[in-house]
Amino acid sequence: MEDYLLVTKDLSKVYKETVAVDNVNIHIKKGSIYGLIGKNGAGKTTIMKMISGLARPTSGSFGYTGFTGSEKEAFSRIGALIESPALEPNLTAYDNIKIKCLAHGIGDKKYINDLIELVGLTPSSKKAGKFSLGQKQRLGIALALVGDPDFLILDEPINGLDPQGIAEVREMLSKLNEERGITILISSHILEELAKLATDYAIIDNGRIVEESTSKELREKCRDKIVIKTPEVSKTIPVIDGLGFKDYSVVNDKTIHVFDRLTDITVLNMELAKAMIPVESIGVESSDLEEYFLKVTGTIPGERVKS
Amino acid sequence: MFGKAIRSELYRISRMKSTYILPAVLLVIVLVTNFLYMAVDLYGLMGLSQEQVENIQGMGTSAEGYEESFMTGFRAGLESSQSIQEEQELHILGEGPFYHESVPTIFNLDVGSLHEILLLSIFIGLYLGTIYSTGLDKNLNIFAGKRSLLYGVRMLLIASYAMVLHICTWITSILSAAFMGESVNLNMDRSFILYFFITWFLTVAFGSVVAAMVHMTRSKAAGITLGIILSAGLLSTLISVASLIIMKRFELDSDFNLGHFTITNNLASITLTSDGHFVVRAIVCALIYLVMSYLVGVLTVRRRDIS
Repeated sequence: MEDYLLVTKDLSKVYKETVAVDNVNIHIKKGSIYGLIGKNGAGKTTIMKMISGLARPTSGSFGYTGFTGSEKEAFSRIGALIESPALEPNLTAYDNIKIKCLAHGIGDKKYINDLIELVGLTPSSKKAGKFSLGQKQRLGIALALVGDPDFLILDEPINGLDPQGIAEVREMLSKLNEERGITILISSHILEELAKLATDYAIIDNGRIVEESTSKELREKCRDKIVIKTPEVSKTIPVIDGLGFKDYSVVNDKTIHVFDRLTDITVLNMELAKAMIPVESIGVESSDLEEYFLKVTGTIPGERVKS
Repeated sequence: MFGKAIRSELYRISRMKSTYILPAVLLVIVLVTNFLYMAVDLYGLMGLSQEQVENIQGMGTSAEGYEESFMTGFRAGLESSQSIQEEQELHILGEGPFYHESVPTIFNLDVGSLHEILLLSIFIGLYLGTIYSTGLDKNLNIFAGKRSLLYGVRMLLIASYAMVLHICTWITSILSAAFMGESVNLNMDRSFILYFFITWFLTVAFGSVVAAMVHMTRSKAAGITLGIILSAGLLSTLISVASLIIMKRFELDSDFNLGHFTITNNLASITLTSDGHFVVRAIVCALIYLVMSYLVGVLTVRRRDIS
């Protein structure tokens, strides 16, 4: 049994006649960085709002199995940055953070200044309304970190950041996860960045979870590979073994993925022909996380096949 | 939790400029009003003789009787001024109708002018409206399961701010008596203390209605507009006509007036010498408004998702 922090059960949210989230079941392990991938309007933000207590589920439930105490107490151990950062524009970064700090019973000036520095801002008298998009985003992350949460919910936290800022935030989140053991739920449309951080993923489309997997499983799916489609899988395996391929897997009764010696595809094809094995298709398939996402959500039908 | 919420909200209020500007504006408005009633020789401008003035003053110069005495004086002044207008030297400054009055009577005049509820509405509009324009409550997910508590804390602070405005009005009344009146007669007897707290309670009830309006509409403009409409008496004609219709339709007593059941009318009409029946009716009406608007407000924020 995995050590889960949060488990949702058939979580759903309906706005009037629009189903925003449809029977979602996600399992977030303690200490993981869980990436939520989905198009705009797929339901990512609504899920985040429900589990952070900002929105009520229409049906289904969620439980912070990793926390002791009531559900209401659990909310005090969650830090969230959902949609755009909620800032009082006429106040400084310090004042914005202090309002939340006082709600958590923290009045320490040093604590606030440390948080400001942690997210790469400098304490100043500049009002939050005058901040750039990136600065606002950093302040939003600082607000989410108030009270040293055990669980961070970050909705598109690198929105508006420049490449250096993105790298800094990534580094900071990795550090928080590794050093403080904070579990992180993060969504981003920059999947390349998400891939550098997340240990687990859920792909969401039209309010439904299409796939939930670990980063290892996902890497496997995204790896460059020779894809053989044949009705004779059992006869194909001895041929692959005979050629000395070590790293391959049988996906189903019609598909085999071969992960090593991709350049030997011609030899493999010839050997299969010699063995009189009918091959529907054979080719090297390459996809990164983004392509994989587009494929499973049906946005790009079919596969991109090289060679 | 209650203490944390109070400290956090109090800090936010303390960082709002309007928190300090509004009492200053109230001070100026009340001073100007008092200047007109205490230092401008209104009777002299109307051309009234000493005997006529004494007759008018015999009618009482409390806020309740002032309108009647002012109109009597105005009519008498019009008649006499037509004959002596050209012979008389024009004196603007001098002893106004409230020149000789005690601080409680001046305070009665100032509270009855409804400046306080106008400024309280603006404060509530800005204080609560900001929550919706910036999404500040997203940061306070620590109160996600305790929204009623947060609502209660905010109402408590609004009531406290109403007290600040009330004290500010009283201090301005004292200043007016000191600089524009004959003498400073504090006269803090039982009737004044009762008047002070009853009118504060009526103001809080009005504030509760405005707060519920802001929460329901998620708009700061709605609360401010309501405050302006009611404090300026823009609905008084409507209320008078509706009273007449109801009176005729249901064959009620000729003293029936819907205005007796509105907070603003009661606040404007109640005096230091109002009879017990009037005062009890005003308190009961205010209590009903307070409880109803509080319940509506709490239910609204409890049922609604935070965005």
